[in-house]
Order: sequence, then C-alpha cells, then structure tokens
Amino acid sequence: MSTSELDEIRDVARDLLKHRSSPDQRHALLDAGARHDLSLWQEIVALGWAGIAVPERHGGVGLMASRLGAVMGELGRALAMTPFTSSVGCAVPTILASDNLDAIESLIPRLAAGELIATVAFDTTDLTVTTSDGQLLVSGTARFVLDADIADVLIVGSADAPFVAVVPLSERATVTPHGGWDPTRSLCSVRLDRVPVVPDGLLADGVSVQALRRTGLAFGALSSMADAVGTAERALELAVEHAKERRQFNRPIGSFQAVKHRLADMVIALSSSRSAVNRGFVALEQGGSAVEAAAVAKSVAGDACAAICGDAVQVHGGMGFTWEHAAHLHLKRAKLDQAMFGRPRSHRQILTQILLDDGCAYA
Amino acid sequence: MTEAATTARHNAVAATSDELRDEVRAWLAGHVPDGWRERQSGATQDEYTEFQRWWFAEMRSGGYLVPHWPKEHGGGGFSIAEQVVLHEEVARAGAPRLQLHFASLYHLPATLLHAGSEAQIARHLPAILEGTVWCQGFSEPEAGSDLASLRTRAKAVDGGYLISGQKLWTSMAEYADWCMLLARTDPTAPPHHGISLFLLDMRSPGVELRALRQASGAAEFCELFLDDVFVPNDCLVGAVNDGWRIAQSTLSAERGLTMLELTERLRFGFRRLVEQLAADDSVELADAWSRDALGASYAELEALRYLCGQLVDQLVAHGGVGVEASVVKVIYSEALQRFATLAVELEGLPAQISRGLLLGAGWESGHAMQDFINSWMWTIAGGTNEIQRNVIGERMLGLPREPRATL
Repeated sequence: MSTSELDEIRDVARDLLKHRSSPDQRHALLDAGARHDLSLWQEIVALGWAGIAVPERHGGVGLMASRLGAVMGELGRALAMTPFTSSVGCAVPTILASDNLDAIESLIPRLAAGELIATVAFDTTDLTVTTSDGQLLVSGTARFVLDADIADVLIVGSADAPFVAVVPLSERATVTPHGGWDPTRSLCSVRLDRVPVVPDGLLADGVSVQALRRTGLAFGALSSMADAVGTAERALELAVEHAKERRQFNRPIGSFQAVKHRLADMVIALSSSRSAVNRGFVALEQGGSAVEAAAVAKSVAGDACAAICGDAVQVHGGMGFTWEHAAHLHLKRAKLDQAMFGRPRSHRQILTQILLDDGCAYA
Repeated sequence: MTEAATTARHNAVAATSDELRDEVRAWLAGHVPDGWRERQSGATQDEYTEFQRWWFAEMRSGGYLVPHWPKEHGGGGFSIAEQVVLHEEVARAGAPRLQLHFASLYHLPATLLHAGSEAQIARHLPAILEGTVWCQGFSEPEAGSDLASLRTRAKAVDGGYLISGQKLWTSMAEYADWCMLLARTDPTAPPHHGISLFLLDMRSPGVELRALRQASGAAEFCELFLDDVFVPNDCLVGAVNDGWRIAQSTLSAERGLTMLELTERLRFGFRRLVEQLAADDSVELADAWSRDALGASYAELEALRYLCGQLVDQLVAHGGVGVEASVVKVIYSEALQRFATLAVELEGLPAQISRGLLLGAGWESGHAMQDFINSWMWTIAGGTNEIQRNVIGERMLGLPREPRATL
C-alpha cells in the first residue's frame, strides 16, 4: 500500500478524532466514570473501519494490515475509548487466521459490519470443554480481558487447552470490570460456566491450537504497540509544545540541553518504535510471521513508548502530574499497552528462541 | 522469516531490476576473497593499504568503483536506487570497505561536482580513478564539535594563499596525496562566513604529519601541521569565504547510502554472532540476561533496517535526506555500541585476548573487543551524538537554540 494512501487514512482518522475524541469530550466521559465511548464506536463502524483488515469477500474493505495499524495508532494518540483494538485489531485477524471457513463466514461479516464486538482471552485458566446434547460447553476463568463488558463474543484459549473457541458473553458468562489504572480502557474478569460455543465457533482443535493461540497473541501484541506508538507520539508533541512555551530563568525551558536532549532522546526512541511497528504490519501484509513481527515490535516499542510517556510527564514538571493534564493518561495507556499480550522481555525471549532454532534461515 | 521484512523495505528500490542485483551478487561471489578477514587480522598498516589498493583495482575492473559518479567523468551513472542495490550486495557479500579511498570516492567528488570548477573536476576526478588518495582536513585541536571556530589561517598572497595551522583526525593522511582543507580566510567575519575550502597538495613544502594512534591501537589518523604552506588560487573551491556552506551541503546523499550499507553490514555481523553462538556449546545462553539482550539486539537492528529503508525511499524520491539522518546516525551508532557490548559480554574472557587488528572490515569485524572499542568512533565522529541531539531538538522539533556564550 502506498505511503500517500496510508497518510490519507491517517489524516481522516486524525480529523475525526480531533472532533469526536477531544480533551473536553474525554473529560466528560471520564468524570461520568465511563470506560467506553460508544457513540464514537458507532461512527467508526459507520465509516467501515471495523472491516478495515477484512477481505472484501467477507464484507470488509480488503486485507491491508498497514491501514489497520495506522488507525490504531490514531486511536492511541487520541486516547480513544473504543473496543477497536480488541475486536478489529485482535479478534478479527485471529478468526481469519484460523482458516476455519465456516467460522469465518458466520462471524467475520458481522464483526466487519460492527454488529458484533469480539474480544480475546488467550490465557484463560481452568479452561475445559464438555459436550451436552451435541453442544460444546466451555468453562473457565479469564482475567485482564479488554472490553469484555461491552463485547458480544469472546475467543478463549490457554497454553494447555486443546482448543480455541468463540463463546457468547451471555448470561452464563459473568463479566466483572477490574477497575484498571488506565481509565480510557476497560479490563475485566470473565467467568464462564458451561457456556455453549457459538455455531461454527470452534476455531481450532488438535495440532493447530497453539499455533493459532500464539498468532492471536501476536495480533494483540502488535495492536497494543500500534496504540502505544500513537499515544507516545502525542505525549512527545505535548512535551515539545510545553518546552517551547514554558519559560524559567528568562528562557524557554526547551533551550536548555537537559530538556532538549531528553526530547531528542524521545524522538529517537519513538522513531525506532514506529519503525518496528510499521515493519510488523508490512510483514503481515507480505505473509511474514506474525509471531516474529509482534515480538520485534514489542521488544523495541513496549518499554520505549512507556518511557517516552514517562519522560513527557517529567518535561511538563508539576503540571504534568495533575489530573487535568493528559500526560498521565498517555503514561497509563502506554503502561497497559506494555503489559498486555506478553511483556516485552517475554517477546525478546521468543526472538532469541527463533534465532537459535532458526538462526541461519534468514539471509 | 526476515525475508518478508527485507522486501518490505524501500519500495522505490524494489522496482530496480533484479538483473543488476544478480549481476552484482555474482561478481562479488567471484571476487571477494575467501577468508580475507582471517588473513588480514594482524596485518601491518602497509599490508592493509596494499590490500585496500588491490580491492580498489578489483572494484574498478568490475565497474563498481564509482557507480555514483556521472558517466562523463568515468562513473557508472547509477541511479540512487541502483546504488542502493550495490551497497546492499556489498554488505551481503561481506566485502572489504574501501576505507583508504573513502574521501576520494565520496567526499571530494561530491564537493567538486557541487562547487568545483571544470578545471578542478578535470584534473582530480580522473586521477582518483588511478588511485589518488584524498584526506579531509576539517577538525582541529580546538575546533571539534564547534568546527566553525577553526583557526587555521589562509592569508591571501600573490597568486594564492599561505596557510598555517594544525589539523587533527585527518584520516589516512599518511597515504594521502591531497587534502580537502577548511581554513579561515576572513578572521573578522562571523565564524561561519569567514571560512574557505582548499585543495592542498600534501607534497607542498611546510606540510608535516604526525601519526595519531587511536584507542584500538591502529593509526588511521594523523595530526597535520601547516607552516606557511602555499596553495595557488586555482586550488580554492567555489567562492572565497563560502567554504562552510560548501562543506555542509555535499554530504547528504552519501550519508544516506553509507548508513544503509553500515546497517546492512551490522545485520550480517549480528548473523555471524548468532551462527557462532549456535555452533559454540561453550557459550552460555541459558541466563535470562543473555537471552533478553540477544532478542533486544535483533529487534532493534530490524527496526533500524526498516528506518534506513525509509531514509533510502526519501533519498530516491528527493535526491537527499533531511534532519532524519541525524536520528538514524544516533540510532545506528548506539545500536552498534550495544551490539558490540553484547558480543564482548557473551564471549567472556576469550574476547579479552587480541587476535590482531582487522582493518578495513568496518565496525563489525567479528573481533568483539575491537568492534566494542571502535564503536566510539561512530558515537563521536561525524558530529557527536550530543551535537546530533541538538540538531534534532533545534531543526526537527524547532526548540530554541541555547544562548551563545559571550566571548
């Protein structure tokens, strides 16, 4: 996909979010204790973005991972409160990657149209399945599930369960919000008590289970890093604006090398992070390994974006530590991004294993 | 797994014919001598320069010495995209770097083609193809990061200039026939506006050299002492007092391609390290730190490669690179330093035993301690990373300059 096309999508998203996810609107939502901006989500759905990484034959606008990454970056930048990352960034590509045509045909068009919201829980504990009247019933407990309080369906898996399946978040599923530190997103626990798998919802069983689960985790990790780069980019911009305006000792503080070099370091770290993430989406478009792509992105951008947001608080001084200023929101968002879908050091271990197993395969 | 990422880079270059790539790859396979790294390890300075001159001649015979020069001056007239292919393949083949002739092949011709007279071009470019070595006399003992404060004086006299002063860090000066020299022609003008660029014949009376041994033990640099050295008028490049601008404006394209080649070389250096680790059971990779650091190094090099690809796209589209080159320089040099640190750490005590210097192998010779020590060359030279951070802060972010100290 051409650079100009990507820029255009980015511009459209930025313009929409400027008007529809402004600091005032955010404050109103946060003051009301809301963790979702459902009217924004409706607008995003109306624009067709829920199908942004879905092939046209399944009701989407074509499989273009870079476009997906660009939109997720803008959502992170605007601290947008939508289920986009979980549903569009993670659940949809996971279902597509299952190669389970029945599941794809029954679920993807509705997800792409925004009729359904999906989320994922790949580290569900005590995950079991029983059969009753020919129906598969799933039980288990998952924590730290994004957006489960508004999602319609959940993809469940675990490191030892012999299946990955889609279950409805119906009355047999108990969803309890955790009250996470990042107020712009919703983390929940989910208890499943013999919840029937949705029709055609057995995404994988047998040998393909762990491969699909790892791929799904990778989509989540890469999505979280697109969000982190966007949010860090905005935090850096705020810090630069502040450093130009704020005067101490009769000079703008940005003229001091102590501040200037910190900001330059943030540029440098952001530049590497953005490259690692964009590389990942391009690799997906070209059929590369999602696990490797996500691990590179998370290794580089996971810690760096959180550190950039922390530095942005520092550059703002006391003002950056107030509730009113957005700096802490970017920091909390980047910290959750860093922690979700495998912490960066776990991803670096994955890379080392790939290198040692397969070191000579890349040339 | 990384092939996809490779093809993802620089769209503009992907359009260049595979034919050129195949041709270059085949030529390099037939000409880069097997085991040259081992044989050159511990070579004397003379053996090293002899090897450099031999490789120079080989590259010339292959038609790959000056692909970036215009055809009318004996160059290959390669497009930037084609040059990218060549640099990538040279890195892939692990070919020696043309360090002895680096200024001759890149800095000097770029400068003359931009600002030199037709007579200067006609005199010097053909001579370079015959092996003339150039060095660069910019830095001085008291003018490093603050290069514009340089004090070497050029006084106008009948028919030319008399130049006196001292230069430092003139690479390969011991072997150089000519020197590209910055000297102050107007001491009353503001620092940037009183400097001129000269072409100095190193055999001129009054030129003295002292070899400067660097931290690695090699002596690639010299101190250059100039005592009333006469330089004729026809060796002034461009207008008098315009030297600073000329020197600043000619490095853009070369910087992008050099970064690309060095990054690709570093990638293959990383690959050699991984192969070494996979083959050597005595190296412990069981501890969490090693595994974390190896994965981190791979990931940051991959991000750097992608970033370089974008820099190259910019180069192909616009013929030059902007302030982003400063970002790439800092990332490359610090990634190199972390890579070398990791290699030393993983090798343990054996890395502390010298196997003889390997010159001309770039910054990923595979001799871990040599690469580690030499990595400071990249964080310091070409504008220290601290200066680069000023450039990023001021030219990229638009932050105000620091007030100048009053003299």
